[in-house]
Amino acid sequence: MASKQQITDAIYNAIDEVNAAQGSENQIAKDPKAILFGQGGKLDSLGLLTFVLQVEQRIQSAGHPSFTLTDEKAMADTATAFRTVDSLSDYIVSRL
Amino acid sequence: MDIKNIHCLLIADHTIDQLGAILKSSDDAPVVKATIAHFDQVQQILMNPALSCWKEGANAALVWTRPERAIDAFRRILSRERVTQEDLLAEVDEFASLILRASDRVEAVFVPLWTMPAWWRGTGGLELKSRPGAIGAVRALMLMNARLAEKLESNSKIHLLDASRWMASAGRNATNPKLWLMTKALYSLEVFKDAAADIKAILRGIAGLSKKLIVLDLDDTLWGGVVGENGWEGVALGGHDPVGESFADFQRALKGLKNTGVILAIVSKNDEKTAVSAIRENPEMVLKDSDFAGWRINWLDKATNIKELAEELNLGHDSIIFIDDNPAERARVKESLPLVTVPDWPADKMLYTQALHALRLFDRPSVTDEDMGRTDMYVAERQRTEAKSSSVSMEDWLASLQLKVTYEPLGPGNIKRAAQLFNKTNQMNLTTRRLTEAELLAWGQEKNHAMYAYRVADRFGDYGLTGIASVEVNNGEATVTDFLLSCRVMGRGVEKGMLTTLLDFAKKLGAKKTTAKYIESKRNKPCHDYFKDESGLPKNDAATEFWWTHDQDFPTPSHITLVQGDGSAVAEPTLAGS
Repeated sequence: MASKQQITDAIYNAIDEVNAAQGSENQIAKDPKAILFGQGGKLDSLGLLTFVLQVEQRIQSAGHPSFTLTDEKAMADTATAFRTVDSLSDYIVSRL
Repeated sequence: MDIKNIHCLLIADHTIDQLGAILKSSDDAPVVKATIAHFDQVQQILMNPALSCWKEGANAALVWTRPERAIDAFRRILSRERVTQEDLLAEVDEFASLILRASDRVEAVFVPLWTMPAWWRGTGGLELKSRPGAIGAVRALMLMNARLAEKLESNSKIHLLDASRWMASAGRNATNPKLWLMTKALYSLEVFKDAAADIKAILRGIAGLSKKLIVLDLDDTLWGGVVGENGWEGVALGGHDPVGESFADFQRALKGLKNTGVILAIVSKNDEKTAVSAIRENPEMVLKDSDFAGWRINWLDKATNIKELAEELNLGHDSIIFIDDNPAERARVKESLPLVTVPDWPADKMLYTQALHALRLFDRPSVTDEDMGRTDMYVAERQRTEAKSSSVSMEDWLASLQLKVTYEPLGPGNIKRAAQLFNKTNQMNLTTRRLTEAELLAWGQEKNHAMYAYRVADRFGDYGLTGIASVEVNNGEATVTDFLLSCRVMGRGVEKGMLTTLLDFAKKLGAKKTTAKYIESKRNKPCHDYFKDESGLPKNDAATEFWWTHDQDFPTPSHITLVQGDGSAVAEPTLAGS
């Protein structure tokens, strides 16, 4: 099972990827407290889904091929689970 | 096309917003303002110039479609319905005609070729076959792309893009079925990044900003090892050794670039005699000494040597790239010559060829005969310089060249090269106007306008089309609108030959006086110096206006033969090697 730090690194890696399409004013910080979704977040709906799929791919490649962040449960938990980098890391740990 | 003001309309049948965001990024020049056209309205948008998306100032467009959406016959092929090749290609022709029609509204159109998602494999090998009434999907896709390329080829504003390479580069992450189903985004960010980089490379090429000169080190750059210590027999090059083969591959890739007009030169810390004999005598050398426009092989500072070479070849520092395996030499050149591009270079020699191909610095909208033979021209220039040093005086040297200047109107035979020259010449350029092929042709055809292309040849060979000048006459007053000449032929009196043709035209149309107004740019001081000091034209106090009154004939230099051509034939320079 991946550690929380490994999961956070995977999230940071995905942040690097999506930042390319975020514009200089909307860059997401690689910080546990960085807001991903909701008030103060910098991702629009397309950006959030792209980001979620990037994280999902990385977790799958790290030895969890059936892991998903786009099922009904994850979508229902979006507001809390995807709020910050740290909350997303915790959520992924809980789902693995 | 104004490289600082590019506005691209993105027309697609899949979500493409993220490509727009990446194009806007300033990490890679130029910054491209992007507007996303209405989703999945491709045909309607291409057909209808009255739609608002065409009225928001876009000067470029991207048309990126899914094959099954753009071509209904292909959708039917995927559904295993019976479709003939004729029906399929007729639809492709129709789609191509829509793109051609839309190209009138902008200065550049980008069209990624059709691809299928990497995960799609259909029925395997059967997809490559055809039988009466049925075509395999992969075979159909190849036919469609080839036909599209053929139909769009004649329009120089349209740039096809190899989307399959972006897909291959992104690998299994190129497409994600979930991303498509949830957002209608067909491609991943990796694909969009590659696409944006290719589009920007082409835009730089259109603007004449592609690199013209590659300056290369020798030891551990063109061959493995130190020739001064091991002799040419002891360096790694070619043969049956992976490192030797990688250097031969790298040389082949460089030779390929040279054959499209990129100039090669050497700057190396070595003994010149040893290094040159290695180039000439090592049978494994792919690059011969005649492939290099010049070299500085000595123990001096490389930055100084590059600066000297740039002056010798008449090239600006921003058109140079320096490749050296040694990080210290790269750092020194980066620091001393900030305009020279110095790419990080892999420590692993087997990755050199890949690194060269990844540079995206040599894109150009077209390759002319002059491009293909450019290095030959520099070699001939060396011979001219030798003749110059053996001549008694400047007049003797000019007379010995037997210069012939042919002037001709713009037409199908010369417009491609003329537009290229028009948009990239900086130094000898009176006004630095930038116009597309169509705009150039239209301007030259207007009443009371003359626009000539000039071909220059001398006893050493043909320089090809190297000058353009234009004049317009209104109410007895003529104005020189453009006056530009390649640096390759500056300072030989060709300029006066060009002035003669313009002044003759103006006089014939009844002009009493012809004026040339100098518009300063960052790089056209040589043009100002010429008009001020050598043209023989009277000037105002600020030396910004120069004129000739037609009560007297302008003195044509006696060492030049002026010949009028009709511009109908595609002239091939004798030095072009094609």
